[in-house]
Amino acid sequence: MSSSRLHISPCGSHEGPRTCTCTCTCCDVYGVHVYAPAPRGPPFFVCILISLLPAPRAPSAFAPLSAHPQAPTRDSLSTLHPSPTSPQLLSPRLPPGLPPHFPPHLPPLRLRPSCVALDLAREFTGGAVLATYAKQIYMEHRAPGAPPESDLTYGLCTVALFAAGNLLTALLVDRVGRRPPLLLGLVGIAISMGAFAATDEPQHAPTPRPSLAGLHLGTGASLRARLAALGGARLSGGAAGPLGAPLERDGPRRRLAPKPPIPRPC
Amino acid sequence: MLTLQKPLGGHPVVTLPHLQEALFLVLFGLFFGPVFSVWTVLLPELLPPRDRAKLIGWLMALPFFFAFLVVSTFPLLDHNSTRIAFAVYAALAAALAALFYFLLPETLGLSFDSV
Repeated sequence: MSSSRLHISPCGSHEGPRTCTCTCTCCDVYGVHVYAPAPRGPPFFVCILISLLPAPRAPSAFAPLSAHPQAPTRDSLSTLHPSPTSPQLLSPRLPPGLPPHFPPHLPPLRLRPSCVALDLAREFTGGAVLATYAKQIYMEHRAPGAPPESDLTYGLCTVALFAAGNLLTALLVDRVGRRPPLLLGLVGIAISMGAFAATDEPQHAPTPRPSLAGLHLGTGASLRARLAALGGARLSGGAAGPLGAPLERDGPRRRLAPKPPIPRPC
Repeated sequence: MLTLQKPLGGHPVVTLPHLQEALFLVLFGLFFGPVFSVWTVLLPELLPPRDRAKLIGWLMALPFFFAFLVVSTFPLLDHNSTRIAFAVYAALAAALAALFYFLLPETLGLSFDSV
């Protein structure tokens, strides 16, 4: 069967007119099909420009269905409703003449500080710091006789309780509401952080903290020590320069044995 | 002061103040989970449906900016300033709790129009 109708090729090729011997998905007939070229869309940059155009205005999502001329009407046999978030049904609240999506609609005035405060509560209550520097903080507050592995254990416990609290709240948030877990969490954070700040004893175990202010500690110090050792070896025990100074202060520096004198021929 | 000893006597292993400090930080994890979870649920409910996607994009980018500020400035503090930083976090959490108590509505069971 030869067909010039426009449809998708069953063999997946719709680049242009071609013949194919297969079963057509539309007419369900086995034979030789001739496919017309599929229509091409506009180029990509044109699509981008089109997407920047203002969207068509539409009545409110919560208006009665009779206010939507294109909306499907509900009959007695269908349960189909237009989605409240469908772009055709979103409410126009801007005065005419302005593009509908810029500037974006803000939440009501009473809710705006709550939206920003939720972001603040997520990051400015110490969660980001503990998630990043948990092992370092526990290392600084390690008990004098405690093993070094306890830092990692406490850090893992903190992250595990992050997940446990998150899951527990996800299970409860539709039963007890949103406010109680949020307020409980914030009050708990205030108590635990305040108690930590009140009972903190400085410098139980003096450990270096990686600093952004300079390369005096942490990985930077390790790098300097390596460079200093390398410089000391090349200088045959002489001064290692500014790189070797911190290492020399901290402890004995490795020195190479002096070379034996070379005997001169008579 | 509570002191845990090694089985055959010897140096003290963990004392109560040291245990307290670690436990406070571990407990922080338990309390931070609800804040993160409620943030995820509540933010889309507070925003108008029309521009929800755009505003959520902004409000999800904002915590990353805050996190950059906090995480990049924390190592600059010395040990005593760390105590002050944690005290500031505690005060901020208490202030936000008061703000939410007075301003934040309960959205459970409400429609978008009601919110």
